[in-house]
Amino acid sequence: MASFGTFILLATFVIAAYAAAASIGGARRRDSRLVESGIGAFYLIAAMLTVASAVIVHAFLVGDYSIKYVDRYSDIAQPLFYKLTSYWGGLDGSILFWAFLLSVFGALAVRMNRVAHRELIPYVVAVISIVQMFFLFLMVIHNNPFSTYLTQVPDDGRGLNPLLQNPYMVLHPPSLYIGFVGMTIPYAFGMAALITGYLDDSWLRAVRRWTMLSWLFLSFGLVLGMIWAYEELGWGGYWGWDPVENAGLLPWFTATAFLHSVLVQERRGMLRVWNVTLVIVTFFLTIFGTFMTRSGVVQSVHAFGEDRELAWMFTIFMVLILVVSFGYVIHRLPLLRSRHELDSWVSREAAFLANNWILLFSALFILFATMFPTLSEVLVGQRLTVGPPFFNKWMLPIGLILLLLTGVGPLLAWRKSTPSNLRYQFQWPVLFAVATAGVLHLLGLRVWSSGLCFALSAFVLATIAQEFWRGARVRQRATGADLVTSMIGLVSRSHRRYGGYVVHLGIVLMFLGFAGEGYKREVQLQLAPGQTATLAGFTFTHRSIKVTDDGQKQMVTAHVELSRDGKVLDTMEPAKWFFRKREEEPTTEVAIRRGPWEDVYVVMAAFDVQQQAGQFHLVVNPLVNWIWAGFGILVLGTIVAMLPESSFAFAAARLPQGEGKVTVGS
Amino acid sequence: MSAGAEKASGLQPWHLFLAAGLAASVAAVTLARDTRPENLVMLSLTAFSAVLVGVAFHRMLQPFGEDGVEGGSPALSARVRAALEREKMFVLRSIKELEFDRAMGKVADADFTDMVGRLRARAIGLLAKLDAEAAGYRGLIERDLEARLAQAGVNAPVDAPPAVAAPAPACSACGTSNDHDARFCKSCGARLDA
Repeated sequence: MASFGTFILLATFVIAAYAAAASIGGARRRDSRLVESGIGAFYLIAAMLTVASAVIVHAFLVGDYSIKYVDRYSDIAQPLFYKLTSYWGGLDGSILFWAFLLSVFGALAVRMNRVAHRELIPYVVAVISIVQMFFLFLMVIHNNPFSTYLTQVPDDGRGLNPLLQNPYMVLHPPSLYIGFVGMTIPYAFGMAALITGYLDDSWLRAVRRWTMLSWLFLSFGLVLGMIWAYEELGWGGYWGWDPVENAGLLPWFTATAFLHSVLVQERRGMLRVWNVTLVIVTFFLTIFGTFMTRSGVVQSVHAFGEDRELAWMFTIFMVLILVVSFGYVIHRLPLLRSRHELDSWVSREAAFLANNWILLFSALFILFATMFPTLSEVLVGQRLTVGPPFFNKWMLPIGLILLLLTGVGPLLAWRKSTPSNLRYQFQWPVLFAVATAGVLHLLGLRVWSSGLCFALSAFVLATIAQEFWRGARVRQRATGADLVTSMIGLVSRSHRRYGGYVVHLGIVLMFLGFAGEGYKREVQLQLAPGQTATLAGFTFTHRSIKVTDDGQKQMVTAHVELSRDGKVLDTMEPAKWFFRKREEEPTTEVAIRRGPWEDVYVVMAAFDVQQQAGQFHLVVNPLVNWIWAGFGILVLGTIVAMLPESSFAFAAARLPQGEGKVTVGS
Repeated sequence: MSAGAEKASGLQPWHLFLAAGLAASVAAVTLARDTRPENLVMLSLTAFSAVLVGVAFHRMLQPFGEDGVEGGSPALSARVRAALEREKMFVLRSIKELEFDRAMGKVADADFTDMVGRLRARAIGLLAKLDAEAAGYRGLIERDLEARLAQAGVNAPVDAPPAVAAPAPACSACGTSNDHDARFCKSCGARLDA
């Protein structure tokens, strides 16, 4: 089976080359047969990679340990679920998984758009096929997931890293990959528009929903990563500015910027160069993120080790992307000229522009800071590291400015805002923000950064509420319906705008959660049985440490009683798990008691079974759950925004049909 | 296109592939000495995904069996018209949103008059262009139809039904000629008599 897998990869490479060549040739010679055949080949890539995936998953299931990849990432004792997901547990498999996702997405995107955007499709096929060829090349030359041991086939595998045997970690990589891979589709359409010169807004329409969907999955992946870090790594936080986390965040920033600036192009015909650039940069960052984490140029908790050859291949590919993409942008600059100028700095366009700059700056800043250790090593010869405090110091003001813009943007008028309508729009939100700040000050919650964040959140919340309220009132006046009906009508009529507001609401809740970090309390101490510790009003009493075994791992569990005001709330059971064959790297199992206002978080850092004593890290994390709740609302808002624009589609589809019928019948 | 032809013959390529896939999975499961259910399920899925390869391979080669006229290059005029339609939708929507924004108190009245005036002027221009285009567009459809019918071997129906450009109903009030299916005049809004 292994050699069959390798053969499939080789054959797919050839097919991808054919798909690219046939599409380009067909488009240039206006030969629809070649173009159609190219599309067929494109579907064939997806089918071939489906077979390749099935082969590797099958190898995992039956435990074919002659395949190195299977040996390294699974063993007999592993539960079925983790056997299946070991597919993307390591580098080689994740490249295959990437290519597979890309082929499926590409096939779907081509299938859905091949009539509406007929002129772009051949180049979309070509661009995606070429990207696909790069990953296939990597696999064939360097990271073949099907490569086998020549001698001495092991009887049992080495097992998946225990840290990854966690439901969040199973879903985290695929959703990040879906987000990453999904960004290739907008890039392909953008490039097709550049190559063909059809640079009106139609390509934006084709990719808008893809971008939103990819963005959603990217966000989902990031949040899952946060939950995983919070529950599994046991250092009390959820975001440590680790290079791998940052790699996912970079394209998220630029994709967010793109989703906003698209609106400006649609409404005002501005920022056309900017939009194409953002699409290219986003795609580049997905590749760069992969490069950063997969080639070992930066050190990280979960990078895959150093690999110079891979680094070179990625570098060449990235340089090619940049040169070709921006070469086309420069070539097409005359066609991309904007139809309008920025009239005033107090306008919605300007707010969008500011938001774009800040998002792009954030991406570049994080990129630079993440690469800083590597850059310093190359330039100075010494690896200088920048830690989380550095990131936090810079990202805090940036985040607050973004939060402010989230509130300001929707209130400004397109083109320009006059003083009178500024007053009319801003009075309530500002009042509400000031009141919130005052109340917080009186309550004695005086952490300036968190306080400011709360005040800004109040501002944004008031903005959103005001938008819904006034919009509903306007509609009510027009339709005469009751308030709730008008509110629903409002959302269904311009669901992108109001879905966007719901997303903003989710973001605000997440920011509230981030602000809670300012009130975090933690302590590290040694507790013998019966000893107690108090933190933020909670009392922790250490009772005992027990050792159990379930066949796959040995578990050392502490029992810590949690009480407040003399009332016992819960027994917390932080643990260390020692997986078979990986005894030297035990996993930390955190005990968390969740609540809307704070999480109590107990980690057992070290233990002494004989003495029954433990070294504990006790943390009280306020408002953490608001982050996850906020994300839920963000998902809801994105779904609302992604709903099809059925009304417009109908109107557009009916007109020509009706005319055609009349002509034939007469 | 070819799908239509095959529909007539009853047996389509994918039927063949489906049967092959079923046969392959049955064979694979029978031959495999493995007995764990999940492995057998995976094995048959693998065999079945091979069917997809067959279908896609067929899809790749199929276009060469056709005579590649269909869909060559969509006529320029159709594209221009589509672009104009899009532009029109876009302008109309912009006007709607602008009105909504004013109702929400986000645009000053002076700005509104200025902006909406410009948008309306653009919309009127576009509508005029579309009307002018419509005549040419109709001719284009008829030419296209003729070409296709001729290609399909149907003998020139060209002169069979006299291409009476069915008397465009003229408005009794203002004399504007309207579309055949119009019930109201597009210029003055008066009801048109059937």
